[in-house]
Amino acid sequence: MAFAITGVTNTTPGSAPTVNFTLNDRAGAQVPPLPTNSSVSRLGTGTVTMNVTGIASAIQGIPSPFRVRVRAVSAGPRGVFTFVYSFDNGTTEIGAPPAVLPTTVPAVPTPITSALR
Amino acid sequence: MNGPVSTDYAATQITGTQGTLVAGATPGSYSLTFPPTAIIPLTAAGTWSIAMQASRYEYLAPTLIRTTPSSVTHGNTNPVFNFSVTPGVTAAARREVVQLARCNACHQQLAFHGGGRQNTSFCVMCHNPTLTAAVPGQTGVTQSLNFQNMVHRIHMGAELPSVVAGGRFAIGSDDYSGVHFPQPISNCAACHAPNTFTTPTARACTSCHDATSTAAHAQLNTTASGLESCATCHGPGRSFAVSAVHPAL
Repeated sequence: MAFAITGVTNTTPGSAPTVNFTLNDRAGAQVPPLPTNSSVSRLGTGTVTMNVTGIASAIQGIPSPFRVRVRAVSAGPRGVFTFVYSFDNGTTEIGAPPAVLPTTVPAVPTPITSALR
Repeated sequence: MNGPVSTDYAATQITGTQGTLVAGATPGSYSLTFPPTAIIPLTAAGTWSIAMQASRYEYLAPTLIRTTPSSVTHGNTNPVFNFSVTPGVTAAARREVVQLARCNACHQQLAFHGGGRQNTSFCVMCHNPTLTAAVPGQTGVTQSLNFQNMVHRIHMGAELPSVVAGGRFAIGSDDYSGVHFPQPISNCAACHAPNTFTTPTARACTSCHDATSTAAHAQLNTTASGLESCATCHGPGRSFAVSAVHPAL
């Protein structure tokens, strides 16, 4: 978060002051990033590469280096998968708890489709 | 919000729901006006401060591993803003005795009361000399939660004379009797800004030196009007100066 008090008015004794402030949640990364270079086969195997740089800037308090641990994947409507992820430092879970990363990946990637044909 | 008044000083706390919150034209900008029940006192003087706390509440949906929903709160470094209650007079920043960066050298990230309070300059808004709490297990006995006293005592922990003598030091359900400062306790600069810890006062010294005999020593060297003679022996350059008994590392 970006949080700052930019000024205070009505500051004389007997007054109810007004605080002017700015507050931007997850400044710099408002939305969890979409995976890139993703592919999923008909058999449910494949890889999804997440833009972890974007996640790092979105979640405060995660010391580097860290890994993203995908904890659960669920399939929704065609082409939409939901990844539940957390962070770990290589051995144990750290920092932010699981967050939901809904994203769209190709349900039938071209290379796999071609092979099946 | 707090600051000096004619007799001492006053502090007021509100939440966003108690004031009038208005979103500004620029995304992320807001104005919060205190309610009529939380005005600046008529006897206010000098520099006052307003500090804020904001947290991000995150709902955690059930997963295959953690099957029950839960939540987490993300805090942020609290902004503090000083202002003068006298028109035309420039606000004077509050003296900084401890420095957050020094705290975080050990703590990595101070985050108390659910994680939303991360700035020592914010802590002292409430942990001022008027804040007290009951001593656990002792009916009718209170202890100071003034930042100075409380933090000294927490870090002294197991080394407190009262604890060494068999007593306990706890605040609420948190027992600090087993806390060991992970370096020489005389390293005042681990927490304090330079030149902020050489003036002896009974309030500061007796927070750690809490033996009854020390309290008696301090009382005997304090006049009926509250003047302390500590500096006579413990002031800079004196035989038992703070810097002599707590040498810098």
